[in-house]
Amino acid sequence: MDEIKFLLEKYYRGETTVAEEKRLADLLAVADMAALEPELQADARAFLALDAYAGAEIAAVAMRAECGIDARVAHDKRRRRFRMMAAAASVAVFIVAGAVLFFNPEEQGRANAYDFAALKAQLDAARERCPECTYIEVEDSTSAAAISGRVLGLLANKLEHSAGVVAYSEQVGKQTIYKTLNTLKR
Amino acid sequence: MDTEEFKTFLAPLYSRMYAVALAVLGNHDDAADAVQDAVMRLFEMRRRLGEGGQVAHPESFAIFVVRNYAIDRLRELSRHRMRSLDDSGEIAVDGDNSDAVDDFELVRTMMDSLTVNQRKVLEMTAIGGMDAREVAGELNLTENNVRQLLSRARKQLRRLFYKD
Repeated sequence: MDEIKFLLEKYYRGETTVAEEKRLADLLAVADMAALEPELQADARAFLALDAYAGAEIAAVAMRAECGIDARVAHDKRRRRFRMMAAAASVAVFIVAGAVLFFNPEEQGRANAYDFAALKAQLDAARERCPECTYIEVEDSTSAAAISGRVLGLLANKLEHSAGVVAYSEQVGKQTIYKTLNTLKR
Repeated sequence: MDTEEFKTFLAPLYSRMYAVALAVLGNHDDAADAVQDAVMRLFEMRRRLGEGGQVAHPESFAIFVVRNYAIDRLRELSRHRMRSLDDSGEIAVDGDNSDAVDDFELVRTMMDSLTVNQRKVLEMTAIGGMDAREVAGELNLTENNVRQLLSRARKQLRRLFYKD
């Protein structure tokens, strides 16, 4: 009790050290307040109230700081996850786009149309040489069969696409087939 | 230094950081904001604070950072007042603890009635854990002056409890 009284008086004169204030807080935490003189009770209560206020304020500062840290960590994790998903999505789009382009029948058709265009050019050149002719001369039966096969393939391919292209293929195909048959008969 | 190590490193420094910010800014809300800004900045630099990092004295560096943030804040032309930490939450009270809540409210009310220097000195010692010599150094006052301010502030608080 004497020590509490001594420290409280020193406290209100503003002369206590940090260690003495801590000592006072420890003593008052276990003291029987009812046993103190009334004036000393008020002194003790004011000291404890300020101590509690200080503790709450610094706890609030610390909690706010830790919440800020946790929020930053969560934000950084979300950003990393978003970047990974964006990268994965980009790769997936790239793969799908590549597959569509690579396996696109229309692209294949365009590739075949290139062959067809060459075949047509061959036919047009033959017509110029012989306008009344309705065939393409080939050197041997093997070439004739190969050309026929190709034309039939083109025909089958083009049937999926354009009616106009199909009609033209049909014309070319018929002519070639006729010639092939004629060649084979020889 | 990972996140948990950083939190552990910073935990004992909050009081001192707050006291330094308060010495510069003079009020609780702005001091708390300056501490928050400093903590986030230190968090970004945490890898430099650990063992073997570029910063030789991390504790002193933390105080240095918060002081700079407090000075920067002081220089701002307009200050947006954030929600006060005094109102940041309600204290959970059970029936036996209502006296403690009333005392808490008395302290908060008393703080508003103090002069700027009295409040600074009281908060720097009570919340910041500084002694009179350190407070005198921060505020450019003499130790006697600090003790007088402290004594008046504490007696003013005590008066509220006598009336009560």
